[in-house]
Amino acid sequence: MQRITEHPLDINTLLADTENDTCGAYVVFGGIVRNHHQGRGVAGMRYTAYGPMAERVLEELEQETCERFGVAECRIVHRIGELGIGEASVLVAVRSAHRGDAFQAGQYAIDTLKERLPVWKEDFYTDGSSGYQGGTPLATSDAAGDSGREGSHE
Amino acid sequence: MLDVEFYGVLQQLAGTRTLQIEVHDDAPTVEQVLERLRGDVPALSDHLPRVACAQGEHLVRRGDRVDPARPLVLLPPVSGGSHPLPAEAC
Repeated sequence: MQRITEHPLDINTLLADTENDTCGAYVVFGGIVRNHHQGRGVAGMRYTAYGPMAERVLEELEQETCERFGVAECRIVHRIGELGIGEASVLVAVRSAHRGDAFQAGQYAIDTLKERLPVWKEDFYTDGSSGYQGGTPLATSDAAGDSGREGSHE
Repeated sequence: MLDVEFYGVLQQLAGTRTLQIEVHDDAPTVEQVLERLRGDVPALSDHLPRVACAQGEHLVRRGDRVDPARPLVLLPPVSGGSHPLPAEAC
């Protein structure tokens, strides 16, 4: 299964792929492109990824989430390419026997993704300008572990 | 020669997706390559401390030796997922 894709994300496919009769709960997180960022109007967004590493990071994060929270299923897909307002950029699905574990595991998966996944987003603003959003330095950079995120680069 | 690949804002600053740089050592360290880039592409200098590097699927550290047969990939701070939480926003 491809976790990094140029195709629109489908929540029903994700739920079908994670069906598990031992589970009494599922939690899905969806990140979608909104029409504003830091007080500016946003018309769309472009996501780019370092593919070879991004696929591995997501696969390992799914396994780690299952082991850490004892949940039965975790599946993550991330969109790349140009996205319009309201389109999903990321979906995280977690299934577990009980809802508490599923909520915690889902939050962990999306929060950790934002620290590890080599993906970058470029905002296209309604005034015609564009800029890369700041982010979190990956683990081996000199600045890894710095608190706070960078601002935007325009 | 070593191929260097840029992603995100680094691509914009370097004005290219890939760059070939001459390396004098058969297997320079990541830090030596970054030092070379500081001279060759001054626009990258301020960003390099926050850049992580990779070869293939894996991150490499500053002191690691670079395999010149494979591109060295420069990865700026990441911003995947959805928008950051308000408390995280700068």
